[in-house]
Amino acid sequence: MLRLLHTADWQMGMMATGLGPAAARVRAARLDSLRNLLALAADREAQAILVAGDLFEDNQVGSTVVEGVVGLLNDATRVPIHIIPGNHDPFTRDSVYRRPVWSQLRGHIKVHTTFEPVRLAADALLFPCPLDRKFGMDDPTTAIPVRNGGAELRVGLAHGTMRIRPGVGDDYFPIALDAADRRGLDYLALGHWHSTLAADGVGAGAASARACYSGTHETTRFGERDSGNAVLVTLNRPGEPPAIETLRTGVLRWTDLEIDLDRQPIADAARTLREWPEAERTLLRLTLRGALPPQASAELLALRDLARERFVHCAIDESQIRPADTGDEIFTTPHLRQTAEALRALASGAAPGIAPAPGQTAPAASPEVARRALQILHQAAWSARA
Amino acid sequence: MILLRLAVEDWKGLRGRVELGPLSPGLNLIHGPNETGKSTLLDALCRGFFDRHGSTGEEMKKRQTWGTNLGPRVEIDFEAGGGRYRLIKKFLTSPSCELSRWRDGAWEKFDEGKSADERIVELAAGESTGKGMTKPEHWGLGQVLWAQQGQAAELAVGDRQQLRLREALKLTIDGAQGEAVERAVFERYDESYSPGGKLRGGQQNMAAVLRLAEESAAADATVKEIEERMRAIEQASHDLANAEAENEATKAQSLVTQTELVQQRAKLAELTARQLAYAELETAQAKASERWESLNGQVHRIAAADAAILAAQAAADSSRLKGEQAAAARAGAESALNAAKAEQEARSAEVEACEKAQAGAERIVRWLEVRRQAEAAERQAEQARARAKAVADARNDLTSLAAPSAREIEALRKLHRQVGDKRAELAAASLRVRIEPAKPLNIATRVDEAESPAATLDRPLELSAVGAAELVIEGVGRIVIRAGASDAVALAAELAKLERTWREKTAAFIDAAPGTPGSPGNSGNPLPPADLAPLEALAARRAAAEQRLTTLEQQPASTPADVASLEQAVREARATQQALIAEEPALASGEFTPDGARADLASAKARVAAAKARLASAANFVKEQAKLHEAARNRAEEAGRDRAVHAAMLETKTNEAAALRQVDGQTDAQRREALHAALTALDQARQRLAAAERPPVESLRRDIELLEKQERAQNTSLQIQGNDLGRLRKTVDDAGGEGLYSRLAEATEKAEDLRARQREAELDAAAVKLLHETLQSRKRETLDALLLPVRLAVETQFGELVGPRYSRVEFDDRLAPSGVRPAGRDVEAPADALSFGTREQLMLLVRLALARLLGREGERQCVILDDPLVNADRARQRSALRILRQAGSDAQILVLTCDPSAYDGLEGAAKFDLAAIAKAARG
Repeated sequence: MLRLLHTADWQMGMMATGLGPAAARVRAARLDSLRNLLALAADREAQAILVAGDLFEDNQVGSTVVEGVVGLLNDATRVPIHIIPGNHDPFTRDSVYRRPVWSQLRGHIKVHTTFEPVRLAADALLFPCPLDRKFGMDDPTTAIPVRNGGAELRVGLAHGTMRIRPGVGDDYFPIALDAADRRGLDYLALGHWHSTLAADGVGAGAASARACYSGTHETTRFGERDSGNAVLVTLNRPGEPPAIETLRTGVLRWTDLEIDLDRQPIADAARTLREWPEAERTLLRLTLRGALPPQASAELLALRDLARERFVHCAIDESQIRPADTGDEIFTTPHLRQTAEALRALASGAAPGIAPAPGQTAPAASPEVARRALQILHQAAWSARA
Repeated sequence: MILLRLAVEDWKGLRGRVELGPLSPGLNLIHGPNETGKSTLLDALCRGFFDRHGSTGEEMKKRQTWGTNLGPRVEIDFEAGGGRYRLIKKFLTSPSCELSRWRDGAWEKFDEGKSADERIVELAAGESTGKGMTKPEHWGLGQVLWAQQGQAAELAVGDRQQLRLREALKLTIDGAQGEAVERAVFERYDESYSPGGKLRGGQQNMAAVLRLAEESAAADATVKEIEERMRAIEQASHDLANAEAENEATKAQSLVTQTELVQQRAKLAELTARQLAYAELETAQAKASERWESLNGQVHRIAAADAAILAAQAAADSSRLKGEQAAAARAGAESALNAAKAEQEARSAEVEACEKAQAGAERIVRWLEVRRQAEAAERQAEQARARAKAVADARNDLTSLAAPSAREIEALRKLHRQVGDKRAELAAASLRVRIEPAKPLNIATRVDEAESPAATLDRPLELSAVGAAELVIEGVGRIVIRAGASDAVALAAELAKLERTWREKTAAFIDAAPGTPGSPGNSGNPLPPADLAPLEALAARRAAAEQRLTTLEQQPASTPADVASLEQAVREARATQQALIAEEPALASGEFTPDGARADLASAKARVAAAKARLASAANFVKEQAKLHEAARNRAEEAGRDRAVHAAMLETKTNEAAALRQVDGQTDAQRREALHAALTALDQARQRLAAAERPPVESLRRDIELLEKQERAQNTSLQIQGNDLGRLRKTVDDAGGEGLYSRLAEATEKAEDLRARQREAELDAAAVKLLHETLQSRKRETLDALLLPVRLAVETQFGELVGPRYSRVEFDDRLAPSGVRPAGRDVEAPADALSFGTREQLMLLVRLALARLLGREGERQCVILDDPLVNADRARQRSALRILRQAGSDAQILVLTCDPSAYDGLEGAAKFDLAAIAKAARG
């Protein structure tokens, strides 16, 4: 029996746009999740860790990133680790794997830069398929010799595109859907897609799957499904289907949340955020929709502050909020009421525009601008009342 | 608030206690000449209400009556907030303040000192100052409703007053919330926009949008720079891979070259050994060939020498034969030459005889010619003698003729004309003058003779020939007419003188001239001066004689010298004849004719020419024969030389052949046998060489040289590639340390973040601008609506005052009139553009309208106007009085004026003669 921990696409040092100051936190979390993964490998008595490419986001990542990873791999485990370069960190002349820091590796870590098979165990062979360039349309697994008899377990380690299910489109380095069978492999550990996917198209854990994407060990963006995992693969005998188990490794949660203010007062929404479990490990993409009464403008401000304080990152989409038709009673002067009415009409698209004041140019009175103007008015009025 | 009574004591120019009251709650007229203290009353009113009684300082001291230390004092009864009050304030000297309230029919003091000061300010709705004296903005509604002298055309409304007015007018647009909202919005607007509505630039107060745009652009630039660097590294990596592949290929090629070199060098060693054996065969062949060529050469040389002997012999024979032929030809030519020379001598003698005959013929012809010339000369000499005689005769004739010459006759003609002219002049001297005026002429006439002077010439005036008249004709000038006997006498004397001259000049010709007194038929009288014809005829005869002499003198040889010359020529010709006869005695006979002699001469010349032609032909023939003889002689000599040469050559060749045969000492047969043997040996050597293959050593050496050259080139390439590889490896290896992607990630994240913030800031800025402008617009509309009653009142009364010139009065948001709209035009004229009087009247109307509205809505207000109609014309004054009367029903009006007559129409007004009151106070 052979037990392997299959992982890929660590994308260390990746770029995280749109997150503001949280980007650094997101990068740091990838090392935290790697610690989780190494700990799981030890806990689950994996005989080897297979890293199916894209350990790094790019060959030009900073030395700190590389040294951090190398240091962790050196110090945090003694489980043998087999790494192949992927399309993000191909074994080119400027490859990250050529840096001097790799000479500090201990013997349990092996970066495979050739297709030469290595022995995983007395009765098991590993066929690494490293990439030496970023782009290509050849199948890297074709370098694996087909099974010619023998009673050894054969494991492939490759990085490329296997059309495991609809929606997974053609990409670079296409890998035949039946590559494992063709090459006589008992298991083909794949990297490239960030979601955990097995070759039978129904996800990891399927009994018949011989090829599997472990997915990235830490989610890289919003909307990325079933990521932040590694898979534990157990091979009993040659020819038998592998047992695949998904293990959670990710540290951060990337969550989308929609709140309909027509159904839920903004105070309730604030409560939801306030009571959010593990908010300190959550990146939130919050969409607010529905009508916002004037008196709730201050609450909206408070909601924003709350979200930014509690969560690793919170992006609030307020573009679908519309000003409520009621609530103008907060205005004690007629011209403020009239101003609010005019802006509301503009925000709803009912009014073509606002007549400019004498000497003023016509404002860029798009509905979005009008909505924002109305919010400012509401906040100011609410503050004045307070 | 209205005033009930006002008392002022020792305040500036108002000495003693000056009291006005009771004041009417409606119209009040306080009048007095200038300097009576009207403005002082208003000053005391304001200071009494709003300044602390403890105020000191220069400004307050100016209120003291000049030259005294008395403390200015004011006492005011007024109604405010439903109560009736009395304030008494004294400044500077023993300052005090006391406030009393009317209660139960009596005044009751309820405050004093500073506290009373503050309470009074509160009652009057004014403001206190911390330090110094108050200003109009502290006077509450007094700032608006109390118009000081010279400031009636201005209307400033302070913030507090505005609030009061707004509250009173129910203009609640700027309540606390409105103000707070506006302030919040305006502050945010000011953060981003300049007053002109443009985003703020500059380093200090730059709008967030612009600042973020700048930062975003800088971040983008950083991203671009890193991307460029990454592309460069990627390219370097690619280049390095290619360079390494190329280097490997070159190394492989170099290895192949080196291997091949080793192989070829081994092969060269083997071939070099084989080449030595081949060289020996080549040497043997060369020796055989040399032997054969030597023998063959000897044989051929002997054969050639024999052939040369035969050829020399033939040539010697031929030259001998040619010498003999040339000698014969030379003898023939010599004979022919001698014959030609004899012929030439004969022809020469013939020519000489013919020339002698020709000379004789020529002398005969010459003699005949000389004889002819002598005879002609004799004839010419005779003719010359005759012509010389004729000339002498003509000269004698001319000398004997007494006639005037051409010049003399011309002078006589001139004199004749002068005589005639003088005679005519003398005749004309006896004239008469007659003047017949067409109209009477005013003249001053001086007539020396018969006529008497006349002032007016109105009849003909005749003047005699002797005398003079001087006429002065008005408008024409002076005319002098003179005639006199002295002139006629002078003329006659001149005429006589001329006639005397005439006679003297013509006297010499009188006798010769036909028809003249001296001529035959005349009696010796002088020539009449009128008759020039006889002298003209005499002159004509002289001219003819002169002409004839001239003609004779112009003929040739007509002088004695000519005659002598011709006679000498005759003598010379005769001498020549005699000389010719001496040469040719036959001439002495003289029996020769010119024609015969010329024929003989021509015949002799022809014979001479024919003889000369024959001589020339003979001479030419001699020359030809001489040439032929020379050529024959040369040929004979050349043939002799050839013969000697060929004989010598024959001897030489014979000697050479003998010498060749003596070289090897062999016979000809022996020699042929040896040659055959050598040829056989040579054939055998050739066959052996042909059987042995020449080793390709040179080709192999060239190949090796090429390989060595190739090896050097490969080494050079490897060196260059090594350098390139080193450089590229360094570039690529160093790039890893830069961490470009990590830098790119951070820069991109920052740029993205800045862009998002920029978008947000843009949205915010646009929203603030929109809100700002919408707020302004709506506020303006609201204000317009709320101010409508004030506007309508002012516009109506303004129309009454100035006529239908303006259709609308505009107010700014501080409730002050900002401008007017001329009727029928959609433009606004600023209030400042109105004339001072019109602006003053407009402000009067605004004050009255505000006071009236305030009075209707709540408390009656006091309006103080300091000479409000001083700048109005009569018509406007009448309208203004009407308006003031109406205003008096809703507000208390205090009019201060120095011209009470202007307010005669202000019925019902309480009137106060300030001058009288003040006088009474002083007195």
